[in-house]
Amino acid sequence: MSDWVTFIDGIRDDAGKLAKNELKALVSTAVADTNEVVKSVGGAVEKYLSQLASGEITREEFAAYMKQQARLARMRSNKATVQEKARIQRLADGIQTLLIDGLSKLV
Amino acid sequence: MTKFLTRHVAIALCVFLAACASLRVARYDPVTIKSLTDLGPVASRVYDSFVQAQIDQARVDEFELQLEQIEAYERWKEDNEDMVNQVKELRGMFADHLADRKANGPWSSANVQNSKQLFYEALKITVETEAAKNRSRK
Repeated sequence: MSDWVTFIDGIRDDAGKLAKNELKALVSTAVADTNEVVKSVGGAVEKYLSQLASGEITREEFAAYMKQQARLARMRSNKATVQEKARIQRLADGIQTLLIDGLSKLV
Repeated sequence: MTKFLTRHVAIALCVFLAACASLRVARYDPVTIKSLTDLGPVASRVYDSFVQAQIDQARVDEFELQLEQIEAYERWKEDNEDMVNQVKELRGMFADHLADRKANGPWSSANVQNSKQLFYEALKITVETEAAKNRSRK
């Protein structure tokens, strides 16, 4: 069993506020995901949890990493938008060239 | 009949082109790629210095200036809000890290490595965003 799984299992949670099984499943599923980005984020979270379990990092540092992971997610979304815009623009440029150089001569 | 179809296709394409006008992105710029990739080794030295008892203010100032210059350059281009936003996120991440270092003192080597990796990833996404743009110039 991974050290981070043992760590989560070992967290005292008498009130049952922490959904331990859901958290473990979420990380394990992400690590095994076929999507490279999800896999990479899952791997990073798994590493942070292991470091937290071994005392290498503090809870505050862990929280800060998660905040920056959210920032990276925003940036990836922005990159996808640029890729999409560039594809549409290439299509528009191609059509414009076609219209100017070819089609317009026929009209 | 051919003339009729051609005219209608041309009108439809013109409407499409007009709609595309609002979606324009700036063209790929090798200067941006160079500035961003040059930032990597400098960032590495800045983050490594966070383990020291004192902040190397001159190094930090120089790095912040480089980031500011990159943002100013990106702002200067037309249709470039996406890249401006990416650079703002990059600066925001470094600002968070610097604030943490100032508030909590010298970092552990684990914190340096993790934070450096996060910054590298942000830098990589920013470079990829620029590289995703169209390269041909009209």
